Amino acid sequence: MWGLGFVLLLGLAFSVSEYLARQWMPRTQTGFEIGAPFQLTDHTGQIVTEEIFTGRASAVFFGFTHCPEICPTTLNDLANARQALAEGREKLQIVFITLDPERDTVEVLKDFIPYFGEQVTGITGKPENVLELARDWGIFWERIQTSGGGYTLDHTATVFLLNEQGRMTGTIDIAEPPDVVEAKLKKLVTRL
Amino acid sequence: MISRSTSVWVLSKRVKKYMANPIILYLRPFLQCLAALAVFLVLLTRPAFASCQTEGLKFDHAQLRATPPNAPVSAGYLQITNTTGQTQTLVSASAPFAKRAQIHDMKHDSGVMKMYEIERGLAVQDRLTVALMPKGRHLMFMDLDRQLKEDDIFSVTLEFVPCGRVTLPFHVTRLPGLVHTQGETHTKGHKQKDHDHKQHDHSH
Repeated sequence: MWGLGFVLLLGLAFSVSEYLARQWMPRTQTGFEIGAPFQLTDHTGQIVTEEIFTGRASAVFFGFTHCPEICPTTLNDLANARQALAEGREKLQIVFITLDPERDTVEVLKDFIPYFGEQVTGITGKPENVLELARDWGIFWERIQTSGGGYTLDHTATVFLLNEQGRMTGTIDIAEPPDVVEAKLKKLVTRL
Repeated sequence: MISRSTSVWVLSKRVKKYMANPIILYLRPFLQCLAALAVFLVLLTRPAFASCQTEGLKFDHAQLRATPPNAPVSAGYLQITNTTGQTQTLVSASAPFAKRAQIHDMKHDSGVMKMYEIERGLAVQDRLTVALMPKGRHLMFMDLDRQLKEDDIFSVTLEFVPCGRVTLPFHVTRLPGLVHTQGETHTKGHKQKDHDHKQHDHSH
């Protein structure tokens, strides 16, 4: 009898403490889980894993270097918006993941990535592994043959905003003006 | 055919007769010079008169996107204003730094950016301005043989139907376009300049 009462009391105390903890503890988990673990190569030839997304905030963009327009425009816009942040700039990185790993080798990204400023990382690797990562992120891409014999890609041009735990807290749409982009990045780094 | 050649023969005979006139004979070297000058002037001025610009095509903000080293592609932008009295269609472009060039448009469809060639050319109707701008229509230059560095200037040739070919300078810039940041910084810059100017005036 006493034993049962003790167990019940213990259970009740545990529930109450858990409830209070959830009420009073700061919420550390915001955002949504996105992607999956991976092991690929960055533009300097170093191994890169999903850990790149933890420790600081990230703006993640999928593209390809044979892209004349939207990829350099987006990377420039992000780099400029990052540069325009009054503070917290160092808490934000830009990550570019190729959707064209066959052409975008480490050598190609080595030239391409540093052009867009500091704290920009390019990710490539074995085509099947890179494209698996893109699928894990829910990215759309499709090869389009051009009249000259080459090809280009139609692809998701959304920028994913991740907090320092690597959880997605928002996106940037390609149509959004620079002041909105800047405001979103500011919010992302000040929340940390 | 025969009659025509005969008439030409008769005419030339007449001209010869006419040229035999002493005054004309005396003026012949002068007339020859004058004729040569006329031909020269016609040759000199004809291309200018026939150019698309004088026919009523106006080009503004011709820019090329600066590229990272070894980048395979770049984009070109400009504003085309047509007052030629008829539709002018931009059918092709070429530049000394690229093997191929195409005219592209883009469509933004639920987060996906789709880019495609405007195969029949970009039609600019009379009394309209068409802008090729970042995040939209652009000239795509492929197989670049060099890096396009900021502040370089390249001649790009555009072909319009019916008015013909136009070659104009394109300015290489890192942030092409007039919309968004670029436009804002531009206007801010101008305002700043005006302000400075006013202050300068006050001090006098």
